[in-house]
Amino acid sequence: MTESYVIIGDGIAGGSAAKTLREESPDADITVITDEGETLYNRILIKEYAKGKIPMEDPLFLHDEEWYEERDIDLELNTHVTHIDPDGHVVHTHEGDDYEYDALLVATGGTPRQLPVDNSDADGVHHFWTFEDARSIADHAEESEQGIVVGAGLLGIDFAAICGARGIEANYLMRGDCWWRYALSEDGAGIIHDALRELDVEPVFQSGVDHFVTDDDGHVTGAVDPNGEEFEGEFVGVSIGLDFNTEFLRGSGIETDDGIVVDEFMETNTEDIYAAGDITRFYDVILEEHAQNGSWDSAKKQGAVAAKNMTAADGEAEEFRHVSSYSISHFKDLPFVSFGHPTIGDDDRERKYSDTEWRRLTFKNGKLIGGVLIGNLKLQSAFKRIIREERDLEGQKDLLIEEDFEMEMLDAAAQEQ
Amino acid sequence: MAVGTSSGQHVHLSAREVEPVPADATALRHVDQLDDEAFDQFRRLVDGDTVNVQPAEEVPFEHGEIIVHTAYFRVTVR
Ligand SMILES: Cc1cc2nc3c(=O)[nH]c(=O)nc-3n(C[C@H](O)[C@H](O)[C@H](O)COP(=O)(O)OP(=O)(O)OC[C@H]3O[C@@H](n4cnc5c(N)ncnc54)[C@H](O)[C@@H]3O)c2cc1C
Repeated sequence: MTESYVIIGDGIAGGSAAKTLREESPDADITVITDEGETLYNRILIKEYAKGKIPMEDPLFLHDEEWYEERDIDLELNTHVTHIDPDGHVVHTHEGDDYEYDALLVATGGTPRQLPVDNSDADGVHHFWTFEDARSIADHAEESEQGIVVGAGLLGIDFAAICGARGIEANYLMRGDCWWRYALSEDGAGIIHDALRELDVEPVFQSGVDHFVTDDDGHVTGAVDPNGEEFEGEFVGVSIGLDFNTEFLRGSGIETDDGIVVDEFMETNTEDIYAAGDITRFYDVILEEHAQNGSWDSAKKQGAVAAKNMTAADGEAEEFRHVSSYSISHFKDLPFVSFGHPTIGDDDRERKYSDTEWRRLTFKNGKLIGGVLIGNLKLQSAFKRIIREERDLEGQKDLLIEEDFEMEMLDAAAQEQ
Repeated sequence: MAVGTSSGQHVHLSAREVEPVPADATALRHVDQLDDEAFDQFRRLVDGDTVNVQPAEEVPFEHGEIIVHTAYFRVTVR
């Protein structure tokens, strides 16, 4: 009997799952359902399109329609899944169509959250997730002069970079004393603040948005922060986090906890249903607890692992064991990467080496679990390897922030102990 | 420069900054799409270590592809 697989979502998690499913199961029926109107594109490069640095669209598409045809994969565009019936093994869509499955993958990611303040949906207030968003951001940014950016994290800084690249003078409103305060100290963040200023983007601390101001046509003209200070701007970018796309799972019995809970095999608590990508709260075998990860490489790998396990014979499941990394590539000569889990842990070490070089590492139970490198990425792969190998670093943590740290120093220290 | 060896063809890699992205560019990747080995190799190429010869089948880049990092880098594989 031919197996049938349904994938909801055609981001990188769904796309890589479709590819792996076809490789593992040459004769199966495979359907990919997405509520977007276009085939898989490179979500992590659309910011460069919005900046105006990549003016053409074609190279940003990873799969064209032929890709699906050649692999005999049914692609349903503009189709929103509204409900799942796990007992009947059926997926229902907004147009009343039903898709039966033997195994189902949910790879529906998230949707940018709106600020819960007045006029947060005004014309000119942008959120950024899709290629459609990138097109409208690009169009509006091209004709704007003053901007406001909200959201002091990895996605918010993309809006700051768009302002910088488009010559928009902007204020970057942050709630605390520094950018990405969950992972950076003021020392590390200070390097980023200087880089933002060079782009004509001014960080404003202890700020935020109380409400947006609009003109008579409903177009945003500024923001008032909780201190009552008004900032002008006709271009606003808001990135304060994601709401995970799980509404259609209501009543299905699938366990959710701000995302879909899966084990290390990407399997949910419900038989024959898997999840992958940003949407998951997955069991991280290195951390030994459930964790979340919003990054391209992690979503891609989870999609592939889920697909393998959807097709695997009993007892041959593959676990997801991965250390992700997420770079910021907006600042000339100032590389930045965060890897693993830099915002959690029970201990940390950090050091500033120069005005443009800084390192912070996080630990849990004596093991390295994450970090942030600014200015020099020479040790990125070595640190990721140390995490993967789950090295016991008790008594050796300080070595890792030596400016000239090398792997051999750990081996030597271990021999001495 | 291609160097022939008994075990197969070896190729020479280099990376050069390009700005703006050439209109005929077909292959573009963000640095986060590289695995650790490719990333290390890319970093060494960018740091000016342009003499880099390796077996053609092991090269993790396409000739002419552009890697987006703190600038745009075009990788040449010959
Ligand atoms: C602007 C931007 C810049 C980024 N930069 C980086 C970066 O530099 N490095 C990095 O590692 N990561 C980056 N990321 C994050 C990275 O893109 C994501 O982690 C990754 O793309 C997640 O992939 P995914 O497949 O899990 O989810 P998504 O790509 O969000 O795909 C989910 C898909 O499911 C569809 N969907 C949702 N609900 C339904 C439904 N009910 N029915 C049908 N379809 C549905 C959605 O429309 C979407 O197409 C960036 C993200 C953005 C937006």
